[in-house]
Amino acid sequence: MSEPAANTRLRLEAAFDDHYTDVVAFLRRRLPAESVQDAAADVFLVAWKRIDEFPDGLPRNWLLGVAYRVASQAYRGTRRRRRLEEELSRQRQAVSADIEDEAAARDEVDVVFAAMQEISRSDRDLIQLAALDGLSHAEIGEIIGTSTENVAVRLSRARQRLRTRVEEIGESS
Amino acid sequence: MMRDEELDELIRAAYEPLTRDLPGPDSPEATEIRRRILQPASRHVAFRPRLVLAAVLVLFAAGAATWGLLRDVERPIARCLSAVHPDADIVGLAPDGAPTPELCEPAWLDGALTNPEVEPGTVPDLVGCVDDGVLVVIPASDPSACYLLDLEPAAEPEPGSPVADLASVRGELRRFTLQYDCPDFDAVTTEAERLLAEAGLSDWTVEVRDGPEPCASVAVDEASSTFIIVPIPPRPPGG
Repeated sequence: MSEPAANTRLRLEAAFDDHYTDVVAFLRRRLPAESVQDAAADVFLVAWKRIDEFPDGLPRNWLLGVAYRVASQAYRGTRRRRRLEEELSRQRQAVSADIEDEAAARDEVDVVFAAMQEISRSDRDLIQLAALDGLSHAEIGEIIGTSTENVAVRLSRARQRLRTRVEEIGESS
Repeated sequence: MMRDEELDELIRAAYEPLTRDLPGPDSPEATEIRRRILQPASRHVAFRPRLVLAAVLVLFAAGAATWGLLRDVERPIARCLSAVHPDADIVGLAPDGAPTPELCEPAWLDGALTNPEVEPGTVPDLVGCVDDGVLVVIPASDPSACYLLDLEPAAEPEPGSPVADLASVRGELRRFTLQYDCPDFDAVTTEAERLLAEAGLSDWTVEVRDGPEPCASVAVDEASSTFIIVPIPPRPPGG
């Protein structure tokens, strides 16, 4: 193997060591378990093709941006989106049901998850990037390609719509 | 009202069950991905346009002349792919004017291109990629999907930018109206308002024009940031 190729391989290995779990967690919150492996492969394939652009190592947030786009790709089409959302809910429910000692606290959390599945995908994306992935408005803006101010406004509206949906579900149950 | 921090805490708790027992970087899953990526030649996946010629001929025979797209075979060919995959079916086109991803919409509507994930007779999100100067249009919602085929994204607005948001709304609305031979005014207006709100384009408005024709179509006046719902005659059946 030539030196540049070996160096590229080492940098990809480093990216795996540093970010693989983050990428898989990011994808797992958005995709059913059986889709995560292929999606993660797509993310690191893109990473490998672009790795020369990042001589100091692949930034975590850049990889999450790729993962965001790969997950978005999986949600293309209404029927496919509904199927993925239903499967994700089913898998989450299956895990949660095993945890009997958390039953008391689960109701409110379940309502929030249900509401997250029912709001628009664009609202859910923003809320997930902020609340689950811990990204700042500026970092979210870089990933979805918009300004920090736009993220702040859209995220505020998205959270409000989520609160409304949580209340509606809570009142109806 | 619940504060942002409280809401976020509940959201994290809601998704936590999904991320238990994740594989680590040394797991068999990660090793398999490494193997897939690092095997020789995978960095330069061959883009195999094996169906281009056949597809062009079939289209020609099937009446592609009615599209007015194959009059000059010397023009650069645009390729419409059925999937984001090197072995996808391909419809080749020789367009008049600058090729754009919208060129491929008729191929989806007519069933020349199909994909199990796309409802027959509908158009998926389309993204333009570039392969040696030739436009390659794939069913994807984001330009980075081009990299999966070892292609470069065609120059397009950055996803999520106001320009991209507007283009997305226009595309969604066009697809919405294409579902009907005679789109209903109220339905198109409501859909336009919904899409604009969802895209955060709060400075855009929707205006309805009166007229004798019964069906709704959409025009866009970018100067005044207005989507104008205009009356048109019904589309001929199958047209």
